Amino acid sequence: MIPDLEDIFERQARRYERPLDAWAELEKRAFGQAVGLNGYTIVAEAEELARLSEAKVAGPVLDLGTGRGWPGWLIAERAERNLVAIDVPVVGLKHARDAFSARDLSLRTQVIASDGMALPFASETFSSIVHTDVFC
Amino acid sequence: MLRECRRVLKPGGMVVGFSIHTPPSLTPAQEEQATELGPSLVCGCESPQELIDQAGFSGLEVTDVTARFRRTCSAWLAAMKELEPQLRRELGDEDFEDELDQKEGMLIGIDEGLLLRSLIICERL
Repeated sequence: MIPDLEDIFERQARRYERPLDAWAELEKRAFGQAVGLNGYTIVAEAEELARLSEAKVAGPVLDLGTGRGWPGWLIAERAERNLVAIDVPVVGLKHARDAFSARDLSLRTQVIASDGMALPFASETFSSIVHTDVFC
Repeated sequence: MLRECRRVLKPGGMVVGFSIHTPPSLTPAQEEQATELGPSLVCGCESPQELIDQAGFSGLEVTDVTARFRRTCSAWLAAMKELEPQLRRELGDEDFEDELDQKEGMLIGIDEGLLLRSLIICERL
């Protein structure tokens, strides 16, 4: 892993360790509801991703860089497909697993610690890949 | 990363997502400023088209959503300022200021035309 990415992942992990209550209050104040947003993908955009991720082919969706599970949980809920969520900071993945579980999505979702440079999946596994501000 | 995406996608599969990126043809000084104001790797993705072509995708659609991105940044900032005492108490001064600097930097970068955000859709044939 190149040092810059290591720094980025460490910084992300520190953000995911912050108290969820404070974050939820902030989110409600900013956007009127708390869905687990901690970046820039608002609910309308998450709904757009869910709609657009309905590919012509069958198969699960890969949520690349899931963070704390937003907008992955909404995509799993709307798209009615299995969803595999990956990211590097484990602390974020624990929140993601809780977010899926809280919405009865545990049976259709899987959370895996991995970065996007070497995906631990067989070729031609997924019908679509969603990401939010990962390629920057 | 996009090449890996291509590998694990079925033919006909889609990559859909939002990316923060810079406009084409920034000067080196502007690139440095964009990196300071925006995400650390922002200057690696100045051309979604080029990245997508290199990774072997097709059917690229890029929709500029920078205006909405600006509204989102502004909403975060306004809420952070309203809740500042509570957030400083719960997050700590350092984390609060770090988060505030990040959001303010993003807003400056947008306003100076150094940062864009786009919805990018492409397909694996």
